[in-house]
Parts: sequence; C-alpha cells; structure tokens
Amino acid sequence: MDDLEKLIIKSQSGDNQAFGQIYQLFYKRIYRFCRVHLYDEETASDLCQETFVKAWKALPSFSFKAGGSFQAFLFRIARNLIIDLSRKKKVSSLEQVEEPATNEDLLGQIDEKETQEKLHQALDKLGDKDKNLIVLRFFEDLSFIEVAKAMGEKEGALRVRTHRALKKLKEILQQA
Amino acid sequence: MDDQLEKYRKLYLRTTIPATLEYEGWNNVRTQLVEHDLPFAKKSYLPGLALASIVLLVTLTSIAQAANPGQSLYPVKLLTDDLVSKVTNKPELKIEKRGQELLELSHNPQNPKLLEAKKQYQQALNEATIEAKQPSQKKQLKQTLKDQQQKFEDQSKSDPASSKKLESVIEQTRKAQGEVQGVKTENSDEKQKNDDRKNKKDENH
Repeated sequence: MDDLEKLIIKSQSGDNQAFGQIYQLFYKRIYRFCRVHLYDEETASDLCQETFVKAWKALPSFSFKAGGSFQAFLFRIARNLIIDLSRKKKVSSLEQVEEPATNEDLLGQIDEKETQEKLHQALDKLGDKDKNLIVLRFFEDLSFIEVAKAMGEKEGALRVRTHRALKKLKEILQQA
Repeated sequence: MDDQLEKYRKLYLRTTIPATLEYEGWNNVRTQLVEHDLPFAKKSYLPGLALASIVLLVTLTSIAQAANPGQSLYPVKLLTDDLVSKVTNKPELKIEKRGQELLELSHNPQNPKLLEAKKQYQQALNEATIEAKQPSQKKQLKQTLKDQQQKFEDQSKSDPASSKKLESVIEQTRKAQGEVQGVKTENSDEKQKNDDRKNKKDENH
C-alpha cells in the first residue's frame, strides 16, 4: 500500500490532517486545470477549493480496489464543477484576461504570460471535450484510462479523438 | 508536434499558483470538512457494530439452547427453534426439541418446569400438524411422532416414576399421528376398538 492509499484510507475514516496532505499533493494540479478553463484566478481558486470539499464528501465512494485512480476522481469532480459554473454564467475569456504589467523588468514574465494566454485561447477554440482531453492527457499526464474515468467517456473513443484534437490544436497554434 | 506540445506543456505547468491557495485555501476547505466528520465517524464504526451484533446474537442463541422452560433465555430458544424449522421447512424439528426437554425433565416428576414443558410440547404438536402441508412433510412428521412416542414409552418403562407424567404426552403424540394421517382421532379409536373386538371373536372361534 503506497502513501497516497494510506492517506486516502485515513481520510475516509475522518482524518482531516490526512486529507490536508492530500490537498497539498494535488491542489496545484487542480488549480491549473480550473485556471485553463476559467481565465479568472479568483474563480479558479474557489473552484479548486470546492473540488476538495466535494471530494471529501464523495470519499466513501472511492476505492482503489475497483481500479480507481484518485487523480481521475479529483479531475472528474473539478470538471463537473466547471461545467456547472459554465451553465450558470458565460465567462467571456477576452473580458477576463488580466492586463499585463508594464514594468520593463517583467518583460520576460509578460512574454510568458501572453504566450500562456494564447495557449488558453487556442485550447478554448478546441471545445470543452477536446480541451479536457489535451490538458488531462498531455499536460497533466493522466493515462487514457484515467482520462476516460475523469471525463466519463470510453477509452477507445478517447484515443481516436486525441489524434483529431492534437491535429486541430496544431492548426490553431500555427495560425496564432 | 511532440516538441511543440512539450513546449506548451511546460508553459501550462508554469501557470502561476496563487500563494494564498496553499494555506488559506486549505483552511477554507478544512472548515467546511468539519461538518462532514460525523458521517465518516458513523460509517467507520458501522461494520464493527454489525459484526459485534452478529457475534452477540450467535452467542446468545448458543447459550439459549441450554435453557429450559421457566428460564429467562427459554423464549430465545423457542424463537430460534421456530425460525430454524421454518427456514429448513421441517416442522418436526420443534417436536424433537420439545420432546427432548420433556424426557430430560421427567426424570424428576416433581419438577415445576415439567408442566410448562408439556404445554410447549402440545403447542409444538399443534403447530407442526398445521405447518406440515406437503406429503413429504407429513410423512417425515409422522415418522418423528412415531419415534417420539417410542422414546416416551421406553422412558416410562425404564423409569416408572416418570410414567404417569408421560402418559398424557404419549396420548397426545398418538392423537397427533392420527391427525397427520388425515383421520379423525375419534374414528381411529373406534377402529382400534372394533379391531380389538374382531380379534377377540376370532380367537374365541
């Protein structure tokens, strides 16, 4: 039994501190995932925290024995929260983009931030499913099985879709 | 594409994480977790509680098997025997159990529990006769009644002190056999008397 499994079992028994360690292990990844969908740091932070609150509630239903992947479990919760939020309000990516700083010392950072925003916009053009696919598979390094679990899709269909999504992303980035 | 993808992956991984998310974020999450502590606490001891209940029940029913009429666990024994006979579809099991109690208690005819044991035996006879509906059940019940009658008669012979007390239960067992056959007990007695008269006539001739 590895450390994560022990932490999960402890958390399932109600151990807050163990769950705190799980939070430390995963919050950055969940935040990045939320951030790439939401463009708004504050909303992404809120959603990241909410993901862990929901994960705590849903922990009794999680099991490694059934071939469960904890990261897929978390990403699935985050994804569902993002979908719920997008139904409640349409967030305009262009309006929410933060204005870059003008200080010359930060030119390198500005450049990177602009590139990141370009990446976000390019991913946005893919559509939600393909975006999730690229982010989870290639940026967050989940296996196809884990991506399938996180997205609630069949693994075979996702593999086919990946090739198309990558091709589309390439075209979008080349045009940018 | 791989190089480009790797480039964008590194870019993605360099997303700025708000500093407040590490500690303040966790504190916000933690305060919301407290409300859900109880469900976990309840669920965590439920399996243990269920196991303890099963162990207690099994222990209780095992101890109850040694109980005799008038003792506090005797109702538990009666309930267990009733359940077992229903689950196994063998109404005659109750007769065997009540019969055994009677045999044990009848060694001491002055035993006040004997009256209760006879009452329970009669009840077992009534219930078993009603419950045995299928031909196979009736056949098995009849055999059990026959065996039980024999046991009572053997005990009466070997222990004359108990014979008076067992007389009535022997008669009850015989009646029950008649009922199981579907023949009225009065008729079976009449038939027996007629057969006896006929045998005597034959002997005289």
